[in-house]
Amino acid sequence: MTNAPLLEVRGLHAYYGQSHVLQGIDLVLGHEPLAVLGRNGMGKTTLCLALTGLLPSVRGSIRFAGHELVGQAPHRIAALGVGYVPQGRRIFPSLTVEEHLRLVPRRATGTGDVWTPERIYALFPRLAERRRQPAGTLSGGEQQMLAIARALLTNPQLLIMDEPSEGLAPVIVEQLIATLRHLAEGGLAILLVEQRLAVATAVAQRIAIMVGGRIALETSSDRLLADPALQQRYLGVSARRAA
Amino acid sequence: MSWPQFVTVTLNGLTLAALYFIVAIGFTLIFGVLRVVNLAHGSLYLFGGYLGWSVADRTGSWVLGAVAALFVTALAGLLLQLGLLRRIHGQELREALVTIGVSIVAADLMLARWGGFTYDFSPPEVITGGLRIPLLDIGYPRYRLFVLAFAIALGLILWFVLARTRLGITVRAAIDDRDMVAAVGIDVQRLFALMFAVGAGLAGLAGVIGGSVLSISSGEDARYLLASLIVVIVGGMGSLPGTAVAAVLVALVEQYSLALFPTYAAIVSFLLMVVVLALRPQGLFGRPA
Repeated sequence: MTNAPLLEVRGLHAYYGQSHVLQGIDLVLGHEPLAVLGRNGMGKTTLCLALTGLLPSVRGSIRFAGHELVGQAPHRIAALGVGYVPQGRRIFPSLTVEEHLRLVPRRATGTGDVWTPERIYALFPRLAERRRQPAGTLSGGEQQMLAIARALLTNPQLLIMDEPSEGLAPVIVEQLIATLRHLAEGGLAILLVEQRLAVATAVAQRIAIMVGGRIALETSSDRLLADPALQQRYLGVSARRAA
Repeated sequence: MSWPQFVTVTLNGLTLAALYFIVAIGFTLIFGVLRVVNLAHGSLYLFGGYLGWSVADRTGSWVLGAVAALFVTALAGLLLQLGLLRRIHGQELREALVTIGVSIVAADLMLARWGGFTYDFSPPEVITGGLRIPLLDIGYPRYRLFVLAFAIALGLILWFVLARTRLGITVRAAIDDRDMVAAVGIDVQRLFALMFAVGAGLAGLAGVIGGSVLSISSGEDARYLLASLIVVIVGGMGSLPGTAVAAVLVALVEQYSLALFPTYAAIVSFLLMVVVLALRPQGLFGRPA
């Protein structure tokens, strides 16, 4: 093992046509979860798309586990060990739960610690109950489990999650947080992009705040939670409303 | 319409539907997975027909001609995708213009090679000749029934592949959301190339099968492109059952109106399309965009 971080983003710029969305992102991620917080339209989803190779107009450097990701095709990036749980979950409505798990090519990891459909069903028993059901008919929480399951089956080293709590009932969000903590304890690196302060701080101790396509501030959960003025300034929310 | 005439017209409609299905299924698979409206699809049909005729003429084997048409047009489709369309992927206007351009160039090249003649195929004797339909005492060409059986078999094979195999799961997932298919580690460019080859190959094969119903000559490319477009718009882009149902609907409407009011027959299939678009813009089996 080297001391190089798992993910190192340097001077990342990204464009949607003419608009310059990411304006020089610098981020370092080890095995400790990192949450990227920010209001709508700050470029959080664009960051996810740039990291997973789904946005082609990208400049800068993304080093991941010794590989440069900029310019690589999405399937190569996935094969290198980057799992992606997109905003809105984006499960395949015409596939059943079981077919989602069959679809994913299993990456050889070299270690014995591999995700299999059986292990997925053990983690999410709800999915096992619904294995023959078309994914389009699942509830929001079940679809989120399926989106996570789909990403886990690629046996990622890093899981990128874009607003996983969006549109979920509070009790389901609690389960989601517990799941993410459990995965992080199991050694999976997590990059959590969130709008909700409570979810971000519950999962990650390290917090990066994104404003206008840049990382405006790096701080810790404790410091952010203790400082309503800071929250107000960067997120425009009070702790009470966000909790 | 008398009873035997009704049966004949219905059989004509069903066998035409079979042909439409074989042509349009490739078109809809390419659209569903790649989101490319391949306006050169009719050219692949005509190319397959000519090429199959030439091979059958040299070798004396209709089957060999059909097989050659299948594989050579598949290769042509592959080159079209890898050489041209891949570079402009996602730019719909350019894709439309490039495929129209290809179809114009291809039409002239084929006119230069095969001329303005009409070519007749001679399918093997097992599937030609007439068949007497009992009770009604009418004769019906055996070859047309073969086309119907072939289309049903092809539909069942495609259904099985789509529903049961991992490739089929991948194709259906790609029709839903191509980016997420890539994000789980699947090389979508390879899938695109494969789908284009399969869709093009089926168009070429249809050229031989359809050319053998009547004949093959220049101008058939536009006719079958139009038929594919109507079938796929009525059925819903990217849907296998939609294509099957729409092929039957379009062909039956076409044949019945030809028998009942020949003067206005040409507009009836367009009326069908207009009605479907007004009531269900995504097509009968399509999902809302």
